[in-house]
Amino acid sequence: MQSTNEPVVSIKDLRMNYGDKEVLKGIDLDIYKGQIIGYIGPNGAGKSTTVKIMLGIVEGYYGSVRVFGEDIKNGNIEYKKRIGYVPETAEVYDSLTAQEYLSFIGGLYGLKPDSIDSKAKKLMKLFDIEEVYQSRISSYSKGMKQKLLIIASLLHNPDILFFDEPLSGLDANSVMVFKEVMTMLASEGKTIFYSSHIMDVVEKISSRIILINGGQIVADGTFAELKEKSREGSLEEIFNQMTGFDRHGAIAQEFIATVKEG
Amino acid sequence: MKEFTILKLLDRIRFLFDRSGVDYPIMRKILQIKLIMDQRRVPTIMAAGKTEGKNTYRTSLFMYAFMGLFVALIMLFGFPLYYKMNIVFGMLIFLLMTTMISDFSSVLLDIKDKNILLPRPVNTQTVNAAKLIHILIYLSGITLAIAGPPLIAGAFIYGAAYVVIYIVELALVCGFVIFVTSILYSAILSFFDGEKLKDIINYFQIVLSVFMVIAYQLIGRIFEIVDLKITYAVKWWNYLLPSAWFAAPFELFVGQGRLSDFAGLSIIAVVIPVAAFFIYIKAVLPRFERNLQKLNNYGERAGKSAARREKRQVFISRLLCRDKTERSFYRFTSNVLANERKLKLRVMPSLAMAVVLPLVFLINFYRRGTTLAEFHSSILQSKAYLYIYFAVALLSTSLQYINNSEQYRGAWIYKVLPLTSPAPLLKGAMKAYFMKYILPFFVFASLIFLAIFGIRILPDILLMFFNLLVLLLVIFAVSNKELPFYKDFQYTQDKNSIAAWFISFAICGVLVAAHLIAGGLAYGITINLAISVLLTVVIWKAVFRITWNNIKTGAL
Repeated sequence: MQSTNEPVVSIKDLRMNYGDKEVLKGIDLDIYKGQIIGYIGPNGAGKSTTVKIMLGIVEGYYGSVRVFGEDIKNGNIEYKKRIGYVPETAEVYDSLTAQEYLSFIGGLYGLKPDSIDSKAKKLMKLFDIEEVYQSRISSYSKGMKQKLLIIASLLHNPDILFFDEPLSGLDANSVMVFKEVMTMLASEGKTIFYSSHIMDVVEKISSRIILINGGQIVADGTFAELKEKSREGSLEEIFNQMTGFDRHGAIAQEFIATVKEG
Repeated sequence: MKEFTILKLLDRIRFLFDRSGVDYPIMRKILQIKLIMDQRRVPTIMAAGKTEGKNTYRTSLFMYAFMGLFVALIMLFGFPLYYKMNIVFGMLIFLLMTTMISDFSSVLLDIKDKNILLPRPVNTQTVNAAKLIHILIYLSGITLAIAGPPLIAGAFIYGAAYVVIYIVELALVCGFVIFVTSILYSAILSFFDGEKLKDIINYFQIVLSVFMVIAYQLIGRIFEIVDLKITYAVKWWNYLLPSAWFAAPFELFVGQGRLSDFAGLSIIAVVIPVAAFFIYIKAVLPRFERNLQKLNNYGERAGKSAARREKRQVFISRLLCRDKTERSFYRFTSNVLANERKLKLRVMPSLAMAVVLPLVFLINFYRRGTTLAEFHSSILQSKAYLYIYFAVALLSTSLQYINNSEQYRGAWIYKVLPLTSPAPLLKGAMKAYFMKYILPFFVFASLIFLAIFGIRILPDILLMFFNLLVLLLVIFAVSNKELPFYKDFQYTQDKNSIAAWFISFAICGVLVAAHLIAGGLAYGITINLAISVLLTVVIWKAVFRITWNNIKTGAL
C-alpha cells in the first residue's frame, strides 16, 4: 500500500502522435488516492487517448506513465488487475449474453465462476436489468449496454476506475444511482478518473477537474478554484471560455437558416 | 458456458503453451468465447436470441470433403506419385490460402479485441496465441476434410510410410500457410500507414487471391500429357511451386524417385515452414500488435478524383435510371461498392476468375510441338469463344455478394425511408453492381477473345451479353430477395449461394446449347439474339413486381 501522498497515477511529459498529427503535447499529471477526477475537453482534445495509454491499449507514446509507482512500459501487466475501465465506444462481444460476457471478463481477472455469477446477477438487479441477464447483448438498448459495461468494470473490485463517458445512454434514475456509487467508491479510497461532456454532472461530483484542449492541460483544480480563476458562473461557461469558444449563438442561427433552405 | 471438444483436445498439449509464456487458462477462455461467437454470427441486425449459423461451417466442411473425394480418385490412377501429390497438395494449399486471405485475415488483423482484452490483465503473447489457435482450429478442420479422403485412399495403396509423411506434411502445410500470410501482412503493416495501409492490404489480398487462382490452374500443367503417358523431369521452376516441395518426399520415400531429383525439394518442404515459423516468432510477433494499431489511424484520402467520380456517376445514373429513387440508390450502391474493402476482397477473385478461366480452357487446346501460328489457326476453326460462357456464369452468380457488408448495421436506413415498393431500390442496386463489376469484366474477357478470333464473333458476343442479362435476372428471380448490404459476411458460403451456383451453371448450359444450335442455322444467331433480348425485357418486367413482403430481411 502506498502512503496517501504518493500518487497512484503519475504522468510526466506525455506526448503522442498519430502520423503527423500531434494529439498529446506534453501532459503532466499526478492523481492521488480517493480523488474523483473529471477529465473534460472538446471533441478530439486527446481525452480518450490519454486514458487508452494508461490502460496499455495505445502504445508508441513518449514520456513516462507510472501506475501504482510502476512504469507501465516495463511490460508487467499486474497493475491491470487493479484497474476497471468503461470504454467510450461500447465495444463488447455482443453476440454473447450478459452472463457469458461477465463470466468471461471475470475469468480474465481470475475470479471464481460462482462468485462472478452471483455478483453479476446482484449488480444487474440493482441496475434493474436482471431480466436480460441471459439475453444476447446485441438486443440491448444503449443504456442497458452501458450498465453492463459499468458492471463489467467493477466485478473485480478495482482500485482505480477509468470511465470514458460512463453516463451516455443512461436514464435519469440510473444516473443518480451511478453518481452516488462513484461518490461512495471514492470515499472508500478508490480513485475515479472519468471524462464526460455533461458539465453539470462533472461540476457536482468531481473533487478535481482537469480541462484539456489541443493536447494540453489548460486548467486543473477544484470547481471552486476554476470558478475563481475564470470569473465565470458555471462549468459550462468556464469550459467555453477556456477553450476559446464564443460563437454558439451565431453558429446556431446559421444552422437554422441552412435547415430552412429549399 | 458451452464446452468444446476441440478445447479439451487442446488441454492435452497445454504444456507447449505454458512453456512459451502463454497464460493457458486465459487463452482457453478467449478461445471459448470466440468459438461461441462464431456459432452465432447473426446475419441481420437486431436478430436477437436466434440460434443459427451453426451449420454453415459444417456444411462447408462437407463441401470440402466432397472435393477431397474427387482428389482421392486421382490416387487410383496410374500416374506417378509425384504428380498425384502435386495435385493433392496444390489443391490443399490453394484452398487453405484463399480461405486464410478472405476469411481469416479479419481475425488476424482484428483490432476490436484490443479495447476489450488489453485493459484486462492479459498479455500480448496470450492474445496472439489465441488468435493463432482460433485460425488453426478452422484451418485444420478444412485441412482434414480435403486431405482426409486422399489420405485414406493412399494408405491402402502405399502403406504406412505414406501415412506418416502425409500427416507430418499436413502440419507443415498449415504452418506454412498461416506464417507466410502473417509475415506478408507484417511487412505491409510496417511500411504503410492509416487509410493507405488498408487500401494496400486490400489490393494485396485481391492480387494474392487472383494469383492463387491462376497458379492453381497451372499446377496441372507441370506435366505434359502426351498420349496419356506422363513424362516428367524436375525442372528448375518446380522449385518455385510449394506443391512440388510437399510432393517430393512422397516420390523419394514411397515412390521410385531418385535422390538427386527429389532431395532438394524435400528439404525445402521442411526448411521453409520451419524458417517461416522462426521469422514469425522472432520478427513478426513482437511488432505485429503495435503495427496493427496503425489501422486505427486516419489518413487523408484523395478528394479530387472522388469529385470527378461523383460527377461521372450522376451522369451515368441519369442515363440508366428514369426513376429518381432508383437513381439515388444507383449512386448509393456504386459508392458503397467503391469503398467497401471487405466486399471487394470477396468479389474480386471470382471476377478475376471469370476472365482467367475461359483463357485457361483456351490454352488447354495447345499441343506440344505445334507452333504458335498453328495453334492460332487450330482454335480459329473451333467454337472455343463459347468459353466466354464460363465468364457469364461466374459473373452472374457474383451478384449475391451485394447483400453483404461490413457496415450491415446501417441497413436500418431502408426502413426509415418513405419507400412504398422495394423495386426501385433493388433495380438501382442491381444496375450499379452490373455497371461497376459485371460489365467491365465481361467486356475485358470479350475483348481478349475478339482479339484472338477477330471481329466475326461480334454477333456471338452480343448474344452472350444478352444471355448474361437473362441469366442474371433468372438467378435474381429464383434466389431470396434481399436488400443490398444488409447482412454481415459469413466465414463460409451458405446454402443459397451454392444453390445459385448450380442453377446458374444449369441454365448457362441451356443457353450455350441454344447458342450452338443457332450457330449452325441460317440467321440462327439473329433469331437467338432477338429471343434473348425479348426474354431480358419480359423477365425484367416480371421480376421486379415485388412488395416489401417478398423481401427477406430477417428481423430488420
